[in-house]
Amino acid sequence: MTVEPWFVLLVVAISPFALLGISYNRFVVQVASTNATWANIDTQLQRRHDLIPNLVRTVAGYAAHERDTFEAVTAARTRAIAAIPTDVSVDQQARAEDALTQGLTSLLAVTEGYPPLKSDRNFRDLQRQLVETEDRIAASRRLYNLEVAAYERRRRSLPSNLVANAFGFDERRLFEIQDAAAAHAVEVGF
Amino acid sequence: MHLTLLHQISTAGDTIAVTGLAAIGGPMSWAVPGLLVAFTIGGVVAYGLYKRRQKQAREASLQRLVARYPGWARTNQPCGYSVKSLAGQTVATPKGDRRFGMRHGVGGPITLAINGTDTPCRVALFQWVSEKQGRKRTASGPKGARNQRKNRTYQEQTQMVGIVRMPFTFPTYVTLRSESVLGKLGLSRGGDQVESSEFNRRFRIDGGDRTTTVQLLDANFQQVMVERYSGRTMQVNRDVLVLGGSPEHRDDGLTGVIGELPAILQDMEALVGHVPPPFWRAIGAGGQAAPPPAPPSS
Repeated sequence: MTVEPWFVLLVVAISPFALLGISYNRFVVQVASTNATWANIDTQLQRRHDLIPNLVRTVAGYAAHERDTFEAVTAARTRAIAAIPTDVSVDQQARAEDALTQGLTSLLAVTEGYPPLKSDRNFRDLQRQLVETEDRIAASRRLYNLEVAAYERRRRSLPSNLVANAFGFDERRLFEIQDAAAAHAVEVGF
Repeated sequence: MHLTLLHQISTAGDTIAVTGLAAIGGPMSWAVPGLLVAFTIGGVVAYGLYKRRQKQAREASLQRLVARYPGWARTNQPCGYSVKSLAGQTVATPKGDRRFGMRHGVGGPITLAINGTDTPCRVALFQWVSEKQGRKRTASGPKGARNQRKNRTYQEQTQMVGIVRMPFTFPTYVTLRSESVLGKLGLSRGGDQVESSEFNRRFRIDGGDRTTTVQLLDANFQQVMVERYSGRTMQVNRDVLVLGGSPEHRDDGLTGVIGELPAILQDMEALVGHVPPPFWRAIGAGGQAAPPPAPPSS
């Protein structure tokens, strides 16, 4: 069986475009996957933000004079919510969430001085929800960072970096925040 | 040559074989086959005695092992599951291509520290046996290779298995098994990937839910698996945690594979202790007194 020369030329001519298309499609899949995992983080962060007013209100019912701590947590929450829009960088959002984590840690430290509050069923339930949410944030963050690491590996290595540059696949930043669940779970007695 | 052999036999005092052979057809022509028969029979008897003694030693070891833990007994239904229901359902209990089964099963109640709470569970340790089909090519006929005939042969495969039955159900499954050769080389990797490249090189991860998988495989768990459980399999599914493969240590006071059973128990306890709290919290385990799982049905 002999192969026609025109067929060989055709294959040689088409191959680069086929490889280009495959590489481009893989980038598209990776970007979509990265966006999906980021959306999952956003959902969990939003859930954490939603829990905070109830938590502050419950603690204030037992420790009304800890006003400074409540205001600090509320301000941190406001900044964290303001950092959610897409035009804010991932790093800025991470720092806003870290500030909120520190505020929450202070708030939970306050509760140590109020045994009746620690045995309050509503407070314990809120605290459990908070830790569970922070566990999910940590897991979602790891998934997002794994996706970003794989994407960046391809975006920077030959020959896929040629495709990335040609079609404008931008750099993605890792989302690095404090592990809040580890800090807050100590306080929780399930 | 026959005369020399006969002389040797006579001097050794083995007169029974010589006398018998002489009566049949002369000592010179029957001496060598007679000797072979005698050695064969003697070998078979010796082998039978050896195997019987080994079996007795294993039985005694199993009794000693069971006596160490209160409430333990020998079992042929690990954690209440029949052998048939386990076959092919976990990565450590393959169905094989023909027969499967278990040996040296022991088990009973155990208390494990789960998420900081002592939790009553049931555990079973045993050796899983399955037969895997192989192909043996034999040449027949004058043309040899052209008339090759495929015969089926089966090879027995064994592995040590430990099962812990929890008082709660895992919402999804996570399976860790040895990565394939191509996967080890980084050429073709299926399943999920985690941060540790060494872990990815050694283990193939299959999970029903990626979030739960990464909650189980935190940095510490990855390191522990690489350092202590390489080459072994682990699976959480339904209400059981299954650890397969031979441990690196053994109890020399127990005979044969029985000596590996206590080591598997130790490995399982250590493994459960390394499961990160977020994983237990995600499945709602630990933190409260849970009733023990149902005892195995007879």
